[in-house]
Amino acid sequence: METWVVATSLIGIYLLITLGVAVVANRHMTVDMEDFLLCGRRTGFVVLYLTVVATYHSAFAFLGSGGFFFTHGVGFWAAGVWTLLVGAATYVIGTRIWALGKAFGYITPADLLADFYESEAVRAAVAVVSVLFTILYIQVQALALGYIMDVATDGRIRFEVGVLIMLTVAVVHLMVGGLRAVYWTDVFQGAWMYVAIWAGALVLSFELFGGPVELWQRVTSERPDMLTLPGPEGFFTPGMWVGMVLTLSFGIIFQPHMMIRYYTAVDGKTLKLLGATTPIYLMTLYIPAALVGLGGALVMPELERADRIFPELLFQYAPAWLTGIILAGAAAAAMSTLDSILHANMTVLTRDVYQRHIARGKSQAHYVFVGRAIVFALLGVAFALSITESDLLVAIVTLSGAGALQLMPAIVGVCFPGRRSLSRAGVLAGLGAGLFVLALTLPLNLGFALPWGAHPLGMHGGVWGLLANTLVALAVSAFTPGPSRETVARVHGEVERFVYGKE
Amino acid sequence: MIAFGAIFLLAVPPVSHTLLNRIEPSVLGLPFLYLALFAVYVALIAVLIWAYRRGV
Repeated sequence: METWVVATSLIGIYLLITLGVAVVANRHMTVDMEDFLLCGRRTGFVVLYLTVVATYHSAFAFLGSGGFFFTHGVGFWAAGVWTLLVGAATYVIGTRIWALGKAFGYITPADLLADFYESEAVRAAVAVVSVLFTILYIQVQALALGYIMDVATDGRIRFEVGVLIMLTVAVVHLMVGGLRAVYWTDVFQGAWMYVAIWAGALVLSFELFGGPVELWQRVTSERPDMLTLPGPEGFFTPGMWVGMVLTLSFGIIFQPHMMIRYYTAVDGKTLKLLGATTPIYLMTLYIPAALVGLGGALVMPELERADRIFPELLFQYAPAWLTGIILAGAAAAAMSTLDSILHANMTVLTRDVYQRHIARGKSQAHYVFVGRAIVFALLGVAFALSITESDLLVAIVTLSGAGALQLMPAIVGVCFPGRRSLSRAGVLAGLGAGLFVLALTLPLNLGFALPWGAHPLGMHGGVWGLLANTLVALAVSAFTPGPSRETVARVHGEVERFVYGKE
Repeated sequence: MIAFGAIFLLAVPPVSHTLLNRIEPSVLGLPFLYLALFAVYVALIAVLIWAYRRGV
């Protein structure tokens, strides 16, 4: 049987399973916002672990990282220390976010910040930043799904049609099953993608080079420029390293789809175990990704779209059944993140915009209905973005992370009690300054050239934005009133109870 | 926290871009930079698991 038939059939089976899971999840769902949006805050370790890693490792890990190794060499492994930062941040910050969410009933990141800084303007700003920058993440997943369908069907299904099919399945799945369906499918998607990328990389390295060790030896002799920093194109300077590490760790942690996952944990101990063990999955996934990217640079140096290196290698050199399984795994990687982001954006728009500013006091069933309608609207946005010109998948992800990174000073101000808190004016001014500097330092198409260019002095634009944000937030907070003593005592008291006392 | 920070410093610039930034000595054909960072990452995971087991 031809490879494209096997690959397309397996992706079709995967999509049917996804929809079946949504129907089953729907039968367990109650008409309740907390259940629809947060799984009732009862998620245990195994499900939480697999949904977090599957959401973290989206198309950018499955396809994009191979493309980055292919283009920039082993530098992506050096920046891989972000996977450890994610674990540490979950352990230290994620647990505090969970404790506050449980104590005060937070559902979105904006709930946390608006409550502490006593400001609906902060809520609106955080909601806008959250949605704006995670939409870029949707673009990454939609693009990857298009690539996968294009390669799997050997060009028989056009890129745009492939994107539309996959997006529709993701949206129907989410609308029918809510977060419970997302979590359940993430469990098998997370396991599937891990096995798939390892299996694919090992098969390819044995098929093409005689094994992983031989692959590394060939790279050492033929492309030594790929094995040191800053890489063949001089990309991984220390400044870019700092930017990538921060945007891929804190920049993604502070996106709503990750913060909402912290709220859903059944208890703080589960979240600590998650922080301690998440890096095992995240870091070890880049071992096979390096084999794919570096091996691909030797075998297909002329490939135009670096992000396609893994599926292209599979299609040419792996058995049909394995190619099908792995491409379905790649689709799972993209879908698991896509549905999570759609869910998070739906939550933010329903809770922070519709429920607060458009229609207060409606029934739970009404808000669930509106949430589902918002997901459908996001389908159109995702499709429109996916058919526009775009950069490497990893580059879009870091841009997305750079935006969410600007929430860091405000979140740190809530989670870490200090002598003096940031003020609402400081948070808003800092956020504005950070986003402004971000726009001036990232490679955006503004219609004119900036004299300092993108990433000035070799430092990632996200870091410049964060520096400006922090300095402005501190300066403005020094001259403007902070949150009331009662609020500071209530929120920081809860943090201290969690950290130093019993849960 | 201190142990994590201390080991973490081994994986960041300037250490990553100078001291570790070489191919030789390699082990089983794996370049030094790759292997050294792998060792640092494993050590960091060990610290996190140790902290969890100690209830920190």
